Amino acid sequence: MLLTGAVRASRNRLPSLIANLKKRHIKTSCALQDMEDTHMHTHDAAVIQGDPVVRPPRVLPLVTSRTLQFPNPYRTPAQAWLENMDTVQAEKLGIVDLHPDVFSVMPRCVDASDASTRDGNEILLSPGGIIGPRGPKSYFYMLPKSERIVGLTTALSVKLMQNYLHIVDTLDIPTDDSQFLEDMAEERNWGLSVLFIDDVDIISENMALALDNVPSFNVMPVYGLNVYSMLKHETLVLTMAALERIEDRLLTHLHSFTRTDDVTRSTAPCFP
Amino acid sequence: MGTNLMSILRGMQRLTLHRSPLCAAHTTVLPTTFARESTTGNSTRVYQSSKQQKTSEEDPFGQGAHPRKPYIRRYGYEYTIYRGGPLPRLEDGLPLPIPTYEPKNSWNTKRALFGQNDYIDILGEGSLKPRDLIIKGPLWVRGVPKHWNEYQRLIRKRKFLNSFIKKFTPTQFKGMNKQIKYLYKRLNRKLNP
Repeated sequence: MLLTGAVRASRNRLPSLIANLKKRHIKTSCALQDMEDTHMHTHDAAVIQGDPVVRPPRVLPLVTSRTLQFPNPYRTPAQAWLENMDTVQAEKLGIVDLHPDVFSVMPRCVDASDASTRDGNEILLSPGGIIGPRGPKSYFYMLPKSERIVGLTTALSVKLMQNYLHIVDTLDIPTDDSQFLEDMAEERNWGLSVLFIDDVDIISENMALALDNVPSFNVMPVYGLNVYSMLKHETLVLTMAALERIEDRLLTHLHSFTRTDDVTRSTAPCFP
Repeated sequence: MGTNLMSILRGMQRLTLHRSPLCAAHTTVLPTTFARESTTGNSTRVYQSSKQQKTSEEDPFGQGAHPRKPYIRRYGYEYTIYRGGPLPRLEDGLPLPIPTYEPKNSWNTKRALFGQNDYIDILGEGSLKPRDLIIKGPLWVRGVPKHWNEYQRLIRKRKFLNSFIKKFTPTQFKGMNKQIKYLYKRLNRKLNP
């Protein structure tokens, strides 16, 4: 929704818009300064050294604000840059607000419980003698949904806090060369392992071929995102659409009252 | 009877004579070391006092003290193990039975994408849960929470396999029903199941 609501100002109105934004958002003044400079030198920045294709000049800024669902009146939203993916060097396309209940929560300190160590081998005693373990047993368990939501929000907050969360417009790259992605990670300080998250589970051919040669660069759809992978990979790169989806899902569950913690209730049919 | 008594008395006399100090004085011709010295670990070891006493020709045992008799432990036994101290690793010997370290590839496909779809019920559309994505194990065990007891598991198994078991393995069907009946009584009627 917010990509469609992006401010696409014409060139004549841009300086006045930037001045207005400067008055409203003091925090983003640095960002706006950068945008203003980019606007002044748009024609010079069209051809960047090492860029395989010559792009038409970009009209900036693309995104300067974003409306948040379920706004928290007591906390200011976190912010992150919106960057591009079609050049090795990062170009700032704008700045986006992130919901504070998702991207800046305080990590909890929870004592480890001994609940998981209580299960022993199931051996029954009968008057006739010892009967052995009975049949295949399932060791499946899941934490309550509320706790898993806390895990996701905490991991996202930690990534943002450590400057390892990056937001890009799309995952399309101009070549299918994996060296392009490696140079990009080197140039933008993404580290050795990167997890790309997109809204859909279809990826462009260039990106698929480039990612295939780098085992520590992986891609997942939003529904595949999880805490383990977030912590295993050094950097998390979200597309704008993925960001929208993640926030939407987490906030919906945070503000819902339905009791869906019961793991014993199967959604699949009982008889195959 | 009389002969017996006499023989006992004679024996006692002999004992006393043998143990008397006078007799001992005549027969003490003790060498300083009368057992062979232990050069290798496999021979009999002679234990001597650790204090080294000063000896001379006039006072061969040092300051007039009686020499301590060396104590031989397990005389005649030959040790087959090495008793010389810390065991050296021989150059020609076998290497230690430790496997050579081979680092695992922590970025193969399985490890790189481990944990994927674990939060599909939160981040997905809501139609799927992680329990529905389990593809290993018997059908009636997949996704069953681990706190379920044997009775609950058997009921679920019977639900899944009722017609099949009844038709093809009737003995198994009978035994399963028997166990379910027994567990029902145990869980519902016993005071402390």
